[in-house]
Formats: sequence, structure tokens, C-alpha cells
Amino acid sequence: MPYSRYALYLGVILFVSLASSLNNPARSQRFTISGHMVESEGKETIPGVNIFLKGTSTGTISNNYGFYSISPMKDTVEIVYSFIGYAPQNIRFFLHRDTVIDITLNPIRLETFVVTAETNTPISTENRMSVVSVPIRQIQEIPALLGEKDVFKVLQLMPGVQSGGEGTSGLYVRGGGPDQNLIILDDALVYNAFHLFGFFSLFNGDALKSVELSKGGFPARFGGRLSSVVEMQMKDGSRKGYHGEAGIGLISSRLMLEGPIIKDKASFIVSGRRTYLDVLAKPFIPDGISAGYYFYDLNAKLNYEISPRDRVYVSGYFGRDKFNVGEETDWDEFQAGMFWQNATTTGRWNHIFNPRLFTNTSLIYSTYRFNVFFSQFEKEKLMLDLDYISDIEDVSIKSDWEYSPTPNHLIRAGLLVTYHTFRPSAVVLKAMDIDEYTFKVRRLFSFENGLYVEDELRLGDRFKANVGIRLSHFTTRDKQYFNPEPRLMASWMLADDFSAKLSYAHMTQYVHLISNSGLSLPTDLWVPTTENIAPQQSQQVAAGLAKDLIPLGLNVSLEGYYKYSKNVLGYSEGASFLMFEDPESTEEVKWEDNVTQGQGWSYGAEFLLQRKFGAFTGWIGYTLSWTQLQFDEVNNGDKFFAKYDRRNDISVVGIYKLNDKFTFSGTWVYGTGNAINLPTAEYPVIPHNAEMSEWLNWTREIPSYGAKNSQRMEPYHRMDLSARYTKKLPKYERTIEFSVFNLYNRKNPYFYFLDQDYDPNTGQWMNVVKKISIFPVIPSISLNFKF
Amino acid sequence: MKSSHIASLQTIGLILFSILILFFYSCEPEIVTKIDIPEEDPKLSVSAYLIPSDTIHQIYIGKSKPHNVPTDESWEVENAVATISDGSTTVTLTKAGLGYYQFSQDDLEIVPGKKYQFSAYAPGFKQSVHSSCVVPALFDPKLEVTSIDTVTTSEMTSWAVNFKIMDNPGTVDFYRIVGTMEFIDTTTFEIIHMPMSPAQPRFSMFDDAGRDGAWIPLRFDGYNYEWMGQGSGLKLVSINIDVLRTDEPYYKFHYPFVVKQYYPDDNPFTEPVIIFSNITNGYGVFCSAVKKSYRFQQ
Repeated sequence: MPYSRYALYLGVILFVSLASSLNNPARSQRFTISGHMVESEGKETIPGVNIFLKGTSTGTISNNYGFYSISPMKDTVEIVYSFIGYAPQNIRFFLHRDTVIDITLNPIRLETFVVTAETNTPISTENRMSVVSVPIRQIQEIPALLGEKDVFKVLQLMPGVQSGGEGTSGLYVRGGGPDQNLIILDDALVYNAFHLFGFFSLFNGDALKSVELSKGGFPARFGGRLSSVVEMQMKDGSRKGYHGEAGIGLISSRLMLEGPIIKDKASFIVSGRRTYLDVLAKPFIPDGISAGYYFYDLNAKLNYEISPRDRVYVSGYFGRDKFNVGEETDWDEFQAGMFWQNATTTGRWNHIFNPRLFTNTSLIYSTYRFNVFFSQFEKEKLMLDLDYISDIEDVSIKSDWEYSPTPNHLIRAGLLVTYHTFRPSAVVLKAMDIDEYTFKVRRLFSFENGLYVEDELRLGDRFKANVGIRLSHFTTRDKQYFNPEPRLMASWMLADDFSAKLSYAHMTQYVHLISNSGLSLPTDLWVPTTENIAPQQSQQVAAGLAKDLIPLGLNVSLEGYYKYSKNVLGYSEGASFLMFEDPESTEEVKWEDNVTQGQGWSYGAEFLLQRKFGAFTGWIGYTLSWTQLQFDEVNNGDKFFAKYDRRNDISVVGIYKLNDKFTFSGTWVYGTGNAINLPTAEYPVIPHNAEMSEWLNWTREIPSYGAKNSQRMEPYHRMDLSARYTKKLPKYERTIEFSVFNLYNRKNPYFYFLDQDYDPNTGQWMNVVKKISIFPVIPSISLNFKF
Repeated sequence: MKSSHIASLQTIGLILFSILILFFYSCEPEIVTKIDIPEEDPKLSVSAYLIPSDTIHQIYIGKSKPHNVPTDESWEVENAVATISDGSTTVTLTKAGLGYYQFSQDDLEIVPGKKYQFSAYAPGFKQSVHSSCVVPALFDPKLEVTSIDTVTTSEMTSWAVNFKIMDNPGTVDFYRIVGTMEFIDTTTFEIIHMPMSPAQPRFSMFDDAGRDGAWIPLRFDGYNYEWMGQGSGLKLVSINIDVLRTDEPYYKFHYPFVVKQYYPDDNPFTEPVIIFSNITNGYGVFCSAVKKSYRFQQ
């Protein structure tokens, strides 16, 4: 079996590298510098700080908890600590024992910053590729629809990442669907990451410390999805003083508060947001009728430093969308609507065994629930009461270990055990003529486990690699799946500022999203791998070049990728997943009959030119890509382009900070239109009337679509602009932002449909294609306070 | 809070809401001319089912309307010339109504296991259409009724008929199951047939994938419709089950209609249904099935 062979090879590699590092005769005489990276203003830990020995390419980066550990080969060293937006620190050490030192970085005024090799976080020396890291500050400065800052919409501006359609926040990464993204918030997996039918993501930038998207070259510590990893860390909360931020926008308001609980030991952060469309609309709704929509989300986090070696964190997220409509008269009353909600809770314990060994243990709870309700009363007597529920609940335990025995090795290992409970759909119906009808799809329980080991290693001055393997395991009813997933990421420095990179990742996905809408709707169902539905798997190879233009403060990267996926989940033609009209006809686990599995191919090239700091920042991204799918039961078994196949995708983002008061920003995006189906003709058929059924005796007018997804929407393009004015007052800072979404009022298509129009010239009715656009030019204004 | 403040808040709310409403004005549909929809010529569409036990075989021939053709033209083709051949005998079908053409079993016998070819053309169409199918071999599957559950209420009586059929081992088989109930009106002595419904849609059409040679359990339900006033005095005479062994084109073509209850709609967010066709240069299906009937006297 080839997989077991891969596993064996990688196991041998890791064993050899670990053994070589442990057997190094110099190891026993070497000392380690370790500690946490913190920022000066609020004492927040900083992940992703570059830490390297001056004059060499030897170094490391701080982990998600801000912890770093480095064991230089020499006794006297100078270490440089640098991170975007902060003044770098150079510290000289004479090492005669293990040293623990927390490094504080001070924010700097970007416009006066001098670009040097030490401050320009270089991409050529990074042993990573296909990674997108967007500073939270930049997310706040980029114009957004209705002024609602959205992490995912900024990620969509990066090469290799696309939106599914006009205004939506779903991420389509390198040809993968939105269900193939591993979205993690403080170690907790988030299932439905969207508000308002996909127009906004769940994540409120006020509460986030870092956001990073990986499109390929996944390290072994990540698993469970095929296409990307979006890893987000919530802020810990200021340990120095009480602060807050508030914002009033066109559709929502938000508030964030943070501060110490025990000074320099423990802190908290609470952040919330709520829309007020329902409140605004209320005066215009007639008496007796109720209708409204709102969403809110709430983030909270506590952290406590028990000792220099132990820290604990408890964080949580809760968000809910609710849409309701109702009418009440003297005689009858009805209420209908739906809500969907996410909740996550994570408890984490960091422990530093010694300067070289760091561990984190997490206990995680995550749930997503969707509910549709309808009730009708006549003279206070119940006529009908319907509840449709679908939900998923996860309880996980996770343990991660980081060991850095020498500067040439950083070994990570860990285990993740998740207990899933799925309820794909359940209907409870009460009506006047029946006592109670309860239809429940059997709950599905499964374990998803992952065991990984990876070594971030260095061979000589020019070659770095991350070699790892993840062993994934999934149980469902009577069947178990086991898959070794080898991973490799290697980089070769061709010059001091120029490198070539290569990666390979084998991924397995055991949990799937069923949707036949192509949108990120709450009605989509999360379902597990079963005896009949095999796990989705992919193999991705990527190669690229990275160049730093240090004097200009620019990074340039060019990457090509090829991804093959198997057992990709598709939707049977005409599949439907909601059965409100006739709940009795809903079969147990009906979703299995509505899906089909096939293959997928994605390949393309991505170019990114980026400037991350200075007065003028931004990027230009270009993607050339192809995405094809094949299912035996769809399109007569022939290959077809995926709906989100996009040949050309361009994004230009610019942010100009004129001075301390004014910041201007703009974006322009262009993308080839999505592949769609429009009927080329209609034809009549009469099915065989074997049942003497009226239903089958009609003439059906069947649309003929030709080959699946053989037509294209119009190209998508749009420009957004924004201007921010910040005024610093003695006690607080105030920012007014004015932005315009879709500046030149491009009528981008949301969807097309076929209609019939009367042609007065011929006197006949003709078929015409019509489109719906939903976002014209939209100006918005928002007011933000920081105190 | 002062009333002036409340009034101000209401004004702000009104303004914000009005702006939002204004912004979404472009939801009004707009005709698009930039979509490149391939243009095609009208084609013949055929619905033909050869069942050896039928004495008259009717075939429906219609025509397609490409998207650039006026929509108020009729669907039926009145002047088609259609032929069916078994390789040695060829018959030309006669007109039997608007869009319908037929031949009798006396003109050309439809025999299980035999291959038939179909062709048709009509003036004004650029291409003739043709197809072929092989009628499935005769079969005699075992069918056992395992239980009949009867529930009588003041409004009606319902029957749940549980039965199973044994698949033919060693062959790839496709099935369609039809259930009917035969009643006698105790007043007029009229015989009335009422269709039964499958307990699950897939009970009425399925293949033997993964259960070759196995017993396949099924359930059909029936009612005497007394609650509608039609069943008063109706007495159940028999439960009749027809098992059709179909060819693959029959199965592929009918599956969306029979199991998925497919009916074309305009929902732009659902996956489109591609209806199977085995008609060269046209649309529709030319297919066949053999039927075995079972009668359970009550």
C-alpha cells in the first residue's frame, strides 16, 4: 500500500533527524534563549515574530502564544526580533546558561519607518509558501461593503482566493469549495462562518489578534480539510490598563472592552456586535405584522499567567442570526422564521517544561445549529407547529508539543481527538388533526483523531524544510478509516534575498458540507463520512519563487500549483435537502442519496507583489487558474468546469497614510465570470405512464442545458474607495470613515434566470436571459472610537 | 430621554433605513445580452416505450424550442414520418392524435431480448433522429408479500403492503414497481382501480447495485378514499403489483421523474437536472421494459 510506504519513509526521516539532533556532541554544551514576545501597549503576546541570529539565516518565529526558543551554536550572539509595525530589537547575549527573556516590542509610526533588511519581514527566508498573512490593522483600513470590516473579504483579495459570488464571504481557495477550509478560532473549529446568508463573516476584527491563511504546503499539525487553513487568534486583552473601542456603522454597532484583572498577571477582553436593521425597519411595519432580521456576535477571553511556566486561557465565541415574520389578527396568528447560531469555547493551558520544550493542551467545544419554525393559531388554538432542526456538536481535546533541541531543528508533535455529534435534520410537527409527529434523523456519532509529527529542519545555510506526517483516523458506525498524510515543505536560498520553494501536502477531509445552492446558506448541512460516503482526499504540489526587494520594501512571489482531489462531494442533479412541504416523505439519512462523489483537478499560477509597511502599502495579485470536476452521475460522467472556476483574477489594493490624521485606501478587483448553466432550448417529453398516474401523464417541458457549466457569467469587476479621518483627543481617539463600495456602479450579476418577454415588433413572446444585481454603488459612513 | 432626542433618533433611523432601501434598488431584473448562449436548430423530441405486453405502442414526437425561437409555437410535430424496425421488418407509424404516432403488436411484434431501431424525420428539421434499444429478457422474479397492515378510521381505511422481490442473480437489473388496488363498489358493482404509493420514492424505481441476487424489501401504501366520499361502499378485491424490468435508458430517463419527483422550475440556486437521452440528433428516449404482474386476492 503506497500510503504506508510514505508513512514509513517519513517516519524514518523524522527519526533520523531527531536522532541526529539529539546525538549532536555540541548539544550538551549549548544554551537556550527563550521567552515570550509581547507588545508594549497592552502586553499582548505577539505570534509570528521573526527571531534570527544577526548576520545569519538561522532563526525561528514566535508561536501562536508568542513563545520562542532558540539555541545558538555560539556563546556570544546578537539576536534580532522584528515584526511588522513594531520597532525591531537587537539584543546581544553572552550565553553561559539557559536564559529566559520576554521581549517587548514598541509600535512605530509606519510612515517614518526606514526599510532595512532587518525590518522588512522577508519572504525569501521564510520556510513557508502559499501563506497569506494580513495584519489586522490593514483589514481595518481596507474599504468594505456597508462599512462592515470583514476578515474574509480581505482574504478574498489575495491571489488563489476567490469569493463565490457578488458580496459573499465564502472562500474558494485554489479550486476548493467553501466547505474545504479549516476555519479555526483559538483552536476551535468554526462550521458556518457567515452572517446574513453569507454576506458577512462571523469574525469581528476588534477581537482578533492575528489571521493567517494557508493555501498549500500545509504543516502536519493541520488536518481535516482539503483546501486551506484559516487560523485566527483572539486578542488576550490588555494587561496594563482598561481600553475600549466602539463603532457605529450603517447596519451595525460594536463595542470592545479590555483590561487587566490582576495587573501583569491576568486580563480579559469582551467584544460584541449587533445589527439594527430590525430596529430601523420597525416603524415602517404595519400594526399586527412583525418582521425583522438581525445578527449579533460576542467574543470573550480571559487569560491568567499562573507562573512564568504556566498560562491558562479561556475564550469563547457566540453568534446568532435570526429572521422572523408574523401576523396577528383578532382571529388568527402565525409566526415563522429561522435562526442559526455558532458557539465555541476553548480552554487552553500553556506549560513550559524547559526552555526547549513548550506544550499546549486545549479542551474545545464547538457547535452549530440551524432551526426553522412555523406556528399557526386560530383563536388561540394551535393549528400547526413545525420545527426543523439541524445541528453539529464537537468536543475535542488537543495536545501540541514543540521541542527545539538545536537551531537546526524545531520538532512539533501532537494529538487531536474530536467527538462529533451530527443531527443532519429533524422535524417536529404538531397539528390540529395529529397529536404530534416527530421525525428525527438518527444522530450520527463519530470520532475524528489526528496524530502528527513534523520537523522544521535546516541543512546548511541555504536549505530548510518542514517534513512531517499526520495520521488521521475516523470512526463511523461500523466502519473506520485510517489515512497517513505525508507533508513536505522545502526552500532553497538561491541568493540572500531570493529563494525557490516546493511543497507537497496530502489532505483528508472526513466532514462534509451539503448544499445545493452554491451559496453559504444556513440550510447547508454538515454531515460525516459514513459507510457509503468515503472521505475526501487531495494531493497538492506547489512550486514557487520568492524575492525580497529590500530597498523598496517589496516582496514578490510567484507560485504554481497542481491539486488532484478524489471522493469530492457533489450534489446529485436536482438534489434538494429541505422537505418542509412533506416531512413524512423525508427518509432517514436522505442526504446520502442526494450526493455523489467524484474527482477534481485544480491548477494554476499566482503572482503577488506586496508592500506591508511604510506610508504606502498594499498589493497586486494575479491568479491564472483552472478547476474541473468529474462525477459519474453528473453531466453524463464527463469532466466540467466548477462553478467557481475562474480563469483570470486580479486584485489591486492600496492604502496611503497621508499623516496621522488621514488615511486613504482603495481596491479594484476583476474576475472571469463564474461558470453557469443556462438552457439552450426546451423540449417536450411524456414519461411512461406505468402507474396510471396523472402526475406522469403530463407533457413536461424540459430545459436542455448542453454540457454542464458551459456558459459564463459576465466578468466581475468593482472598485471601492475609503477615506479615514482620525482625531486624537485627550481621552480618546475618534475615526470617521467614509467609503464607497462599487464606485462606478458596475452591475455585477448575482444570478441569471430565463424569462419571457413580449416582442412588439414580431408580436411574439421570446425567451430572454435576465440578471439580478444586488449591490450598486453603496456609500457608507462609520464612526469609531478608541479609548 | 427627552422627546426631542427620541424624535432625532427616529429621524436618523428613517434616514438610515431609506438609504438602505435606496441602495438595493438594483435588484430589479435587467436583460442581459452579453451571455454567449449557443444557438441551435429545433430538434425532434421522442418519448417511446416498448412493452411487449402492450397491444398498441404509442410514441410521442414533439420538437424543441431553442432559446431564440418564439415561445408560443406549439410543442407537437404533426407531420413526422417515424419507423421502427427489428432488422427484418420495418413499420411506419400512423398518426394517432396531436404529436402521437402508433403501431400495433400485429404490425411488428415486440419480443423480449430483441433489438429494435427507431428513426424519424419531419419537414423543416435539419436532421432526422434515430435510436435503438434491446428489450430486456423475460423474467420471473420471486415476489412474496410479508405483511399487509390495515388501519381503519372513521374517515378511511389504509393498507400498508410489505413485500419483497428476489433480484435475478448475475445480471445488471433495473426495476420499476407499480402497485394498484382493485375495489368493487358494493352498490353499483363497478370495479375501481386505485394507485398505491411507494412508502419511499426509491421503492418505485431502483437497480440491483450492491444487492445482486438478494431479496429487496419494499412497501406500498393504499387508501380507499372514503374520506373523499369516493370510497363509500368500496370493498377491496385484490392488491396488484406490476414489476417492470427495464433497460438502462428507461431507468436513467425516468429516475428523476419517478424518484426525485422532478419538475422543471426557475430556481437559479439549485443544481440543474440533465435528463438522460439516447436519441441521436434529438431529445427524449427510446427504451423498453418487460412486465410481470402479481395479483393478491383479498
